[in-house]
Formats: sequence, C-alpha cells, structure tokens
Amino acid sequence: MKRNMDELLKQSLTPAQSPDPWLNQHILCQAKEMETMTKKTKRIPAAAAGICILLLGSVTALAAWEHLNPAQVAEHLEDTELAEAFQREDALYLDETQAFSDYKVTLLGAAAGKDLSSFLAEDDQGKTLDDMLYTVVAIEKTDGTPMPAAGDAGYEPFFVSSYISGLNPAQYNAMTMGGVYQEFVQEGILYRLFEISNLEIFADRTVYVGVSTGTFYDSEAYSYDEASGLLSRNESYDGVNALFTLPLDTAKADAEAANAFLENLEASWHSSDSVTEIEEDAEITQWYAKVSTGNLTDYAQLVESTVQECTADEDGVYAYSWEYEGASGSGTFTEEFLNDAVPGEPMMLGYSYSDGLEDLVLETCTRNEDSSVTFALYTPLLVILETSAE
Amino acid sequence: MNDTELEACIHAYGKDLYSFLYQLTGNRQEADDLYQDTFLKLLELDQRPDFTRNPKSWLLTIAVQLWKNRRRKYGWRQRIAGAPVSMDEPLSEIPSNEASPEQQVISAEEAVLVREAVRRLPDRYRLPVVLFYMEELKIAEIGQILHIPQGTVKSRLHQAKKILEKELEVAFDEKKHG
Repeated sequence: MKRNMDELLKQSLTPAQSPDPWLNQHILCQAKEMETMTKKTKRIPAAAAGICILLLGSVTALAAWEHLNPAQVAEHLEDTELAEAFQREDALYLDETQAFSDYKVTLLGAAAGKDLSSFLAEDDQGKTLDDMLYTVVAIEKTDGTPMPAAGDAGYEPFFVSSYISGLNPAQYNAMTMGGVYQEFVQEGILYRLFEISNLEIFADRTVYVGVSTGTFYDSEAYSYDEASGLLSRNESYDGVNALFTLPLDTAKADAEAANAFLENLEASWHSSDSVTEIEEDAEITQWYAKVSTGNLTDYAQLVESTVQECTADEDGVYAYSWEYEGASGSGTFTEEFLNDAVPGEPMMLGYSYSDGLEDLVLETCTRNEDSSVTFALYTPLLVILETSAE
Repeated sequence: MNDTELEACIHAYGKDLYSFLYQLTGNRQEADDLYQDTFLKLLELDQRPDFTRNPKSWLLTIAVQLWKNRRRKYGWRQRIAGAPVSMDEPLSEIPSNEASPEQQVISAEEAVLVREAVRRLPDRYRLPVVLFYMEELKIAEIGQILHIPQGTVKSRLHQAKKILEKELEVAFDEKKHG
C-alpha cells in the first residue's frame, strides 16, 4: 500500500464525536452541587443524567427510617418509566430484611423485562441493552446512625450482585456480567438500584441477590457447592453477606437463550485485546521474575517522594497510599509479612502498571534498624527499560 | 474554576476531548464516564487551565491519567490484606463512523478501517498516534502527557505507522477484493 500514512491517519482521526448535550449539562450541574457541598466530590454514573437536578429539588418526605418502595427509588433517580414498571403486577415487591452486626439489608423488589427504563445503556458494540433485570436494595445501620453517601467520610462500599445457581459466583457476578448501579442516601438509608441483563431466562434455576462488604466479589462471604451448584452464606464471615432468592417466574426460563447468553458472555471475556494484554503481561512477568529482595536496587530505583513511615493499627495492619505521575494506589500489609524482614532491606509487596514496564511501580515495605516501618515505591531502572520495553 | 470558566472550557475543548476518549475506549458509555470524570477532576483539583499555554493538552493530561489508572493492572508477590483488584475493563470493537466533511477525501469505509486498526494498537503506540493525529499536539506536549522523552514519542509514532501500514495493506486489499 503506497498511501500517505500521515494523511490517512489525519483524515480518519479528525475529531468527529461530540458528547451528548445532557452530559455537558450534567457536568455543570455536578459542578454546582460540588460548590454547594463545599467542594465535596460526589460522583454518580454518567448514565444517571439528571439525578443531581433531583437531588437539589424536592424529594418525597417520608417518616424517618421507613423504606422507600422500588417505584419511589426509581422516581428518585428520575427514571419514570422504571417507576411505572415497578408498579406493574408482574413486578416483585419483596421487602425481606437480613440483619448483621452493623448493618441491615433489605431486598425491596425487582422488575424485569424489555424497555423498562428511561435510561437504556448500550453495550460495547453499540447495541441497546433493553432487556434488563432491575433490583432495589436498602442498606442501613443497625444502630440507627445515618449511612454516609459515596464520597463522604466513613463510606463503606458494598457489592450488590445477582448470582445464578450452577455458575460459580467468583466468575459470574455483577462485575463480570456487566452489572451497573445507581445509589443515593435518603433519611439515613442507602438505596441502591442495580441492573443487569435479564436473568429470567435462568428462572428454572435459583437466581440470588447478594449484598456483601467490599467493592468486589469476596469468595469468603459465600460458599459455593460445586456439586449442587447452590450458593449459601458463610456464617462465620466477618461482614455483611446477605443472600436472597429472587422468586422469578419459572415460565420465563429459556434454556436456549440462557446458553446463548453464557456463550456470548464468555466470548466477551476472551476478546482479541486479551491476547495483547497477555503478551504485555508476559513482559512484566519476565522482568519481575528477575527481581528479588536482595537485588532490588540492581533493577529498580527508589521514588523518594513516596517514602512514608507506616504505623500498625491494633490488629497489626499497616496502611499506605501513594501518588506518582498521575497514578495512585493504596493497600495494606500485616505484621506477619515483616516476619522475615532483614532490617534496612526493602521487601516487595507487589507491583502495578498500565502500559508496561515504563510505567510500572513496585510497592515495597522496609523494617528499619530502629524497628520503624517505611513504605516506598520503586520504578524499573531506565537502562532496563531501554532494552526491555522498546 | 467557576461555572462560567468551566462552561467555556467545555465549549472550547469538549468535542476534542470527547473524540479522543471515544477513540481510546471505543464505546460511548466509557467515553461518557471518562469525559465527566476529567472535568470533575479539573474541579476537584481546583485549578484552571493555563490559557497562555495549550489548555487542551492540560485537559488531555488529566484524561490520560484517569484512563491509565482505570486500566492499571496489579500483581502481588504474596497475599496481603486489602490488596486492590484489577480494574481492567475489556475494550470494545469498532467505533461507529461519523465522518466529518474533511474525512470525505478518503471513503468513510476506509476511515473506519483506519480507526479500527488504531484501536487495535497497544496503548504505548495508540496514545501517541491519537494525540498526534487527532488532537494535533506537538511531540513535546505528547511527551509531557505520557511522561516519556520526545525521542520515545517519535520512535513510537514511527513504529505505530509501520504496524498500521502493514495492517491496512491487508485490510484495504480485502475490501477491494471482497
């Protein structure tokens, strides 16, 4: 091909995409809200356009601690079509509560079907996701103190997900199946509207709704029996691990559609981009395999600005956080991790990267001669980068 | 930054920023989220773009950092409490073709093939290509955004063009014959 690549790229890549006007309005609205909240950031998914207008407007007043019903939750999120769907006869009003030491979780209801929402999203291929399952849960504190909203101090993340019997929840959960949610706090209660592809096609199996502590699926929270395919709560779990059964209409089960759904889902996990990532990962793995505590400084250099003293809490857990060239991270390590530490010698906690070796950072902790513990980042030495990355 | 400044910024650079994010992510939903996050980050930083320099480059710096952070992968030598989990999101397929008048010199179909090929490039090549050809940034500006030397930007652009040339030769040939 003897075409002028520069010209071809320039013409093909001329900026041609504009944001929807509502998105710009939404940002301006968010900005006003942030100003009102004295610069406190409160982010909500872009798909939930218009929410902030409602947050600043009037909200149906209810007696303290009384739950909103699913239709009111949808209304609060300005999804009038979904609010109507929640009022139809085939919508599920459940109002089941499970209590834990610090929190109470209530499954308020669910609705499933086509074109139920005013805010239908698109998948990666631009196909409208119009056949969805919407579930509403409420989370509140058992001692009656109000739940903090996202972005507020003390906000604790919860993972709300659908699970399907016969499918390992570690593999098939909200995150891997493309679930999304919106949430808000009203009268001290956190309401979350969670949506995922319509799972009524699996109605001949058990479809669960789980609410657990954390941002991701935690395999400690639930027990999955490979033989029976059933999921149950881990009674000894230290945290919230609510598990409800969704009484879907078994007449809507469709084995063929369910198989097709799983095939498509699994295919999406193995897209061609994964191959590139695996190749990139191999490059990192090879480099990382060469590095050890003893030879760390042969391969990496200290990032002075990230050195910080860490103090263990009462459980012997050290916390750290860092920011470096636009990237950031945080984590913890335990006292036991330092058992084999040689004073003054950094121990590797782990690494993270985006593009490859050139932006990789290595997290380390060091027990110093005076018994204090410091955290620091290391980055691969440039001489290594020149030979490995380019 | 006040509301008026933010509105002016959105008006002046919104389309460029959005096109960049759309090319990067390949889908509107993720582009929407990153677009919103970029402007909110701008507010959160409580800074205003330096209009004496290139404010677009400044906005793109924030956008690239947010994008990279989202895609950041984690590896852990040992199991430690509270270790973060990969936030990778799978990339999507082909962005739709909304050809501008300038793009009519080459066919709309060819433009799609080019954008598709650019999307398949690894990030280290894709980012410089999109910043250079779509956002028309200078080599030095791209180096600043990506935290790499100017020489590396040039070599990546060169390498990217070689890869694209090979890929597009096949793609255009297939289109021609089939």
